[in-house]
Amino acid sequence: MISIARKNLFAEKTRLFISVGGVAFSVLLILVLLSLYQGWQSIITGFINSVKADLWVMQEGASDMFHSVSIVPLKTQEKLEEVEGVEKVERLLMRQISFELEGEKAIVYLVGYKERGGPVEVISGEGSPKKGEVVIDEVFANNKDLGIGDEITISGKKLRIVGISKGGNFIFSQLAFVPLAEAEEILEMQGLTNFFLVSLADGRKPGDVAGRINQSVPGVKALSHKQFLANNEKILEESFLPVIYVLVLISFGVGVAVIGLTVYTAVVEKSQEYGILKAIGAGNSYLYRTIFEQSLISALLGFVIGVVLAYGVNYVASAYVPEFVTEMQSQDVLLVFGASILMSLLASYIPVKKIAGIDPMEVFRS
Amino acid sequence: MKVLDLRKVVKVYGEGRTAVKAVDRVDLTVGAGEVVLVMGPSGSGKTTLLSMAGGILKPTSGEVFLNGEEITGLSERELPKIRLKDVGFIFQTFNLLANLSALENVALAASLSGFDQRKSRGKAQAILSDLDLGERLNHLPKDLSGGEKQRVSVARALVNDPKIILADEPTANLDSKAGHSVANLLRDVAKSRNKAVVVVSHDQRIRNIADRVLWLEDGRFKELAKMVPDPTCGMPVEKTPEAPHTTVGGKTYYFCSIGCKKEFLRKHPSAVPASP
Repeated sequence: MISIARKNLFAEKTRLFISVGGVAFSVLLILVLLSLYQGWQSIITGFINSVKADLWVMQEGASDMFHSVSIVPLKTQEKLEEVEGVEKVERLLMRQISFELEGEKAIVYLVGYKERGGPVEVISGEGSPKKGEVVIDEVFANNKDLGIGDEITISGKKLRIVGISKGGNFIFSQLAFVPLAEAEEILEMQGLTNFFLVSLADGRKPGDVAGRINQSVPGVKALSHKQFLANNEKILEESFLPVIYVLVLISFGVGVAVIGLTVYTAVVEKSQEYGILKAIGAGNSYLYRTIFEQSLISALLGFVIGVVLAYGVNYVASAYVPEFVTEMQSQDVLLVFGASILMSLLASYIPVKKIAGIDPMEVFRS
Repeated sequence: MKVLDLRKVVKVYGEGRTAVKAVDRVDLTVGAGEVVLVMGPSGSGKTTLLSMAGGILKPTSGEVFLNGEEITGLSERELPKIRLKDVGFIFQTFNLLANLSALENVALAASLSGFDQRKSRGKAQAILSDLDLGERLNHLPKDLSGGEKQRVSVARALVNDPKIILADEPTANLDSKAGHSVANLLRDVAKSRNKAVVVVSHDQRIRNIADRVLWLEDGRFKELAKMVPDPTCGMPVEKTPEAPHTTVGGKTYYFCSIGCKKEFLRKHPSAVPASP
């Protein structure tokens, strides 16, 4: 069958440009928002995943790294080690701290670790700081124009930067890694810890051991690695997802409106031709297909261009703005593909109604 | 063989006081191979009659038979199939799709009736070549002359091999030469392809190719034998005492309107006015 939809669409270059451009813009916005969300999500989960612990033990009432500060007495470690199924217990100090840097306030999320809890990925210099040394995140390094060999002073302690790592950007602040003893002094956490990282003996189930800890060790809460990860993901879900959903819906609406309006004006302009088609015997289903095909072509072209643009924007933006951490996931691209098809369906509705009302007698009113 | 048979067909537009009877109890039979020309003043109901004959418009009452099948009671879902396969339409303004080539305009009609793309294009090419448009297949309507556009329109009307061709003012937008050419083409279509052809037109040139000429006025056919030309505008007028008329030198002249009569009286001051 000769495609009138395609012929009409490509014959009107300006309208095609507006229609495809509108969808591409909409797809671009949706994908950038979703990839930003995924990027942030993967930063948080990336660090927690890099810490090889079967259980995270924290102060009762705390449930993640951000909502409330967990402070647990160090003596709890002995009690934890006595719980059946626990093989090894290790301290992890983690707390946000501000300090002055060249006359300005700077904030880092200071991590004091011994074996586990170090940098996710070292991109230059050393990955294992010694006393008086620190490994900072690349975003913090770029923002503050710091490099290897530079010094920062936190709570009166001079720390020489020996490494730059990535994967430690928590959007509002970035991770900085120091040895456990160093963090203990800076954060004044002698005799205290923020978290205990627990390894289990072979074959023990995290849920069972966590249950035993929660029952037998007062004042603490043990969470499986999976649960702790989920709790932290939930922070982003609760704080950013609603905003992202609203923006995605607006972008989707823009896409639907642009396709709908351009296809509708094309139908109005060509109503005489649709009248001709009706007069010579084209059924409504053929005419509806024509409309849907026009919308679909616009949506698919817009989708392809939008995806390419989104990759481009993410690449360029992350090169110039380190905080712009994005991660394009195939399921999001598929989701946006589905949304584009849905856009074309919704956008076809009003033009289809318009076509249904065209009288084939129009052909005699020239 | 009767291809088109209209029986006591009536079409009323509007309701109550605003109701207008566009076609009033019209009977018409057209056979295969016959060219029927329907003439009449503007607003006489010609296009309404043609639309009802082609299944575009439903009559208010009466019956329309196409190829022996009554189409009056068919639903809006069934009528497009009749228009597609049993009727070929030709329009005053050609009504070709602007973004399709001559070949595609014709092939589209074939593909709508179920032929695959290759076969549709083949049929379209064959018929366009028959109508001397073999060199213009890939031209868009904007690149064709008026006569060529109308021949493409004829090809589109013929591509599904309908039994009847309905043409609405097919020569009105054409110059004299192209008008003659299209008029002769319509006669050829009727005679060599054995199609019934009904033409609605004001064009006197078509009278030469018509087997029958009918005069439609106020929604009813009138006998052309009882009609004389209006001396002012040339339109056939019925010789009735109700028609505007006047006498000059013992000869009575009939007019289509008071305006034409006044115009005539200005030129012939000696005329004896008669009422109305």
